[in-house]
Amino acid sequence: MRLNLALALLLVPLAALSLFWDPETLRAVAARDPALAQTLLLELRLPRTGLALVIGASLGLGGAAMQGLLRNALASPDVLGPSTGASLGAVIAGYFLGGGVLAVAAGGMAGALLALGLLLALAGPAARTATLVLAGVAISALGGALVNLGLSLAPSPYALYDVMFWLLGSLADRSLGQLALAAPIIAIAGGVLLAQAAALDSLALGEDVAETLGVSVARLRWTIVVATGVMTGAGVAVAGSIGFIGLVVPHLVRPLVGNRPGAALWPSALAGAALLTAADIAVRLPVNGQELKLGVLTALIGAPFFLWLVVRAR
Amino acid sequence: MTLTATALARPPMLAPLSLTLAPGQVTGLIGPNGAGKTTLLRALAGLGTGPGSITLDGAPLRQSARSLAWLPADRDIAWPMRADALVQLGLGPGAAADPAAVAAALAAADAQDFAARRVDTLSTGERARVLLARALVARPAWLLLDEPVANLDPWHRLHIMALLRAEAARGAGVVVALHDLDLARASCDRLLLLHQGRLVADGAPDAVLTPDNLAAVFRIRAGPAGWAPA
Amino acid sequence: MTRLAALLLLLATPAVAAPLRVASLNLCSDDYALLLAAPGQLVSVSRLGADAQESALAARAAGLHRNRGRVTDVVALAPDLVLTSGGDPNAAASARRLGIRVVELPQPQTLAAVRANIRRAGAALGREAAAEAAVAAFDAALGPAPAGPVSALLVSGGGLTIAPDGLAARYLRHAGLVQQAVPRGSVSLERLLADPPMVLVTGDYHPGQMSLNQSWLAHPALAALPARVRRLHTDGRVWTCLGPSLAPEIARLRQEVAR
Repeated sequence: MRLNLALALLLVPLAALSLFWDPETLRAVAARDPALAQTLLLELRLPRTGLALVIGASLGLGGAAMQGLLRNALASPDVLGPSTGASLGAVIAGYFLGGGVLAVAAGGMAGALLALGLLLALAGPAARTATLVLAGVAISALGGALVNLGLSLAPSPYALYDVMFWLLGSLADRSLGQLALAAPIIAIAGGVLLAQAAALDSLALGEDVAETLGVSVARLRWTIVVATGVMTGAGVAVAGSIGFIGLVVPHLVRPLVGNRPGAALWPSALAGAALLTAADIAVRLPVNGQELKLGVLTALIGAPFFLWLVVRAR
Repeated sequence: MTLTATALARPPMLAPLSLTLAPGQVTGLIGPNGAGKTTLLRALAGLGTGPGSITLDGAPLRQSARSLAWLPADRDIAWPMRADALVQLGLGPGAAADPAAVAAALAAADAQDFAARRVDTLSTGERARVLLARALVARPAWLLLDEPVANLDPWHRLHIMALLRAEAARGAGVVVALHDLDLARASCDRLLLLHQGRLVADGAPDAVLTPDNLAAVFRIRAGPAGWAPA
Repeated sequence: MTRLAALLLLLATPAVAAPLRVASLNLCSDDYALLLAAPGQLVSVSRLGADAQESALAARAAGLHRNRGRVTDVVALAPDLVLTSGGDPNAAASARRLGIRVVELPQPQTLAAVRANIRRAGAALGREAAAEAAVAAFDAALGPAPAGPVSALLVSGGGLTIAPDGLAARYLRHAGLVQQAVPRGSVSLERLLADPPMVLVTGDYHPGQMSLNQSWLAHPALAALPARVRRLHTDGRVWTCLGPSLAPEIARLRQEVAR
C-alpha cells in the first residue's frame, strides 16, 4: 500500500515534467499567442503524457499478469509476441480492411489475442523458460516478418515510415482522440486484471493446489489472456509496439512486495506508467536534433536486462 | 462426514473403483512406483477425474480451502516468497491475513524457525515442511497428502506422522501416500494397496501388508535385517 | 511475335527516323514521355505513371501497356526506344544488350537540368518542336521568381519536408515562397505549433490510402494553427519527380500566394 502510494506520488512530477517539457519554448509561445500555447498543451502534450501513463501502466500490468499466470519470469506480452501480433492485426485492419481508427484498434486487439493464444498453445500452461522463450521468439519473428510483408504489399507510399512506427512504437504527435480510444479500453481490461490478484497469488502454489483452494484456473487463464490481449492491442494500435517495459517492470517491483505475483499487479501498473513516462521524456532530450524512437530506447534498456534474465535462468 | 469416490476411471492410470473414506482416520495409500497413488489422490481432490463422481457427505465435492487440502509431491515453488506468506495462501484466495493461524501451522510442521525466510533459500526438506504447513493452515476437513515425508530426516518423518495422527484425532480425514511401509504400518488406521492402477487390498495395516501381497506387489519380503528382494 | 520483334530490331536504325514504339520504364521518364510523345508513339508506361494516385498525367496513359520498370516487361512490344529515369540501373544495360536504343534522363538537380531533360527527351522522340514548346510552356508557368518571397514550410504526411537548398525549394521560390530550414528534414507537430511558419503548404499523397503519415495531416493540432498562418495545399503527386508537370502546380500556388 505504501509502495503504491510512493509510486503514485512519483507519477506526479514525471507527468508534470512530460506535460511541461521544454518550458522556455512553452513560455515563449504563451507570450506570443496564449491560445496557441493552450492548443499545444491540450492537443499534443496532454495526449502524449496521458498515453505514456496509460500505456506504460498497461505494459507493466500485462507483464505482471502474464508472469503470474505462466509462473515464469520471462513471460510478457511485449517480448513474447502479442505486441507484434497486435502490430500485425493493426496493419492488416488499417491497410487492407479499410482503415479507420476503430478498425485499427480492433485489429490490434484481435492480433494480440491470436498471438497470445498461439503462445499459450505452443508453450503449455506452466511453461518452462526455454519453451516459452522459443515459442515467443518464433511468434515475434513470424509476426514481424508478416508486418513487413503486409507493409510492403500495402499501397501506401509511406509504408516504409510506418514500419518504424508499428515495430518500434512512439508517442510523438498522438491526438486526444487516440487517448480517448485507448484509455477506457485499457482501464476496463486493467481493472479486470487487477481483480485477479488473489487468484494469481494462489496460483503461485501450482494449478492443482489453486484449484483445490477454490480458484477456477481455466477461467482465470481465459480472463487474463483476454484482458491482456485487449489491453495490448489497444495500446499498440495507438502507440505501436513498445518492448521490454512489461518484462522489466514486474522484476523491479516483485521483490518489494515479497515476490507475491498478485500483490505485484498494482505496483507494476504504477511503475510501468512511471518508467514509460520517464522513457518518453528521455527520447525528447536533444540527440542529434532528432527524437529517438521510444521503442528503440526501451529496447536499449530492456534487451540487456532480458539477456541477464536468460543467463540467470540457465 | 464421508468422502466417497465411485467409478473413478482414468484409464490406463486407474481402473474403476469405488471407495468410501471415513473422517477421523489416517488412511495410507501404498503401492510401487506407477501404481496410481497420485492419480487416485488427485481424483479424490477433484482434479483430473474421469467419468465418475466424488461426493462429500453425499453432496458433490465443492472445492474450498476449508473442506479439502491437497499437497502435491512436487516441492517447486514458482516465486521466492517468504515462508509465512506462502502458508497464508493456504487460507484461500483473498482470505484475511491470519498471523496466528500461520504461526500455529508453521509450528505444527516444525517450520517456525524459517517463517521469515524466502522459500528459495530453504532445503528441500525444509520446504516440504513449509508446504505441509500451508496444507494444514486452514484446518481442512480432509487432508490429501502425496508423499509428505519424502526428503525428511527420520525425526521429522515421525514428527509429521504424529502430527497427521493428531489431525485425525481432531476429526480430519487424512489420506496420505507413503513409500515407507514401516511408517505406514505404524501410523495408519487403514491402508489401500494399489497395483497397476487397481485397488488390490483395503483394510487394517496387518491385513494388507501380508507376505503374499508384499511379494506380489512390491517384490520384497521381510528378511532378518529389514526388507529383502523377494 | 518474337520473329516480328527481331525483324523490327533489324530495321530500327538509330537516330535516323523518329522512333515509332517508345516504352518508358519509370514514373519520372513517364512525366516527359506523356508530355511530349506524338499520339500512338508511346506503347508502354510504368505502372506508377498510369496510376492516378501517383501521376498527374495518368489520364494520358489510359489504354497504354503498363510495365514494372523491367526491360522483360516491354520486350514483347518490340520497342525501338526505351526511356528511363532512375529505377533499376540494370534496365538500361539490358535494353542495350537486346539492341534497343536507350535514352536515360538523369534526375534533375536544377531547373536548367529539367529543361535539358525536356529537350533530350524531345530529341530522342524526334519531337524537337514539341520539346521547345514544352520548355516555353514550362518557363511561362514558372514565370520569374517573385520579389519579396515569403517564408514557408512545405510539409507532407508525417512531417517530412523538402530541403531548403534543393530543386523542390527552387521551384517553390517561383511560387513566391522560401522553404524554411528544418533540422533533419522532418518536423514534429509540436515544433510546427511552437514555431509556426508564415505559410504552411501541406502536400497530400495517396489521400484515400490509410497511413500513419497521412493521418498526421489530419491531426486536430494542425487545424488549430492560428489564423495568421496561411494554409496552402498542394498536389503531392507532382513533387515526386520534380519534372515538367510540377510547373502548372507552381503557377497555381503563385496565384494563391499572391491573392
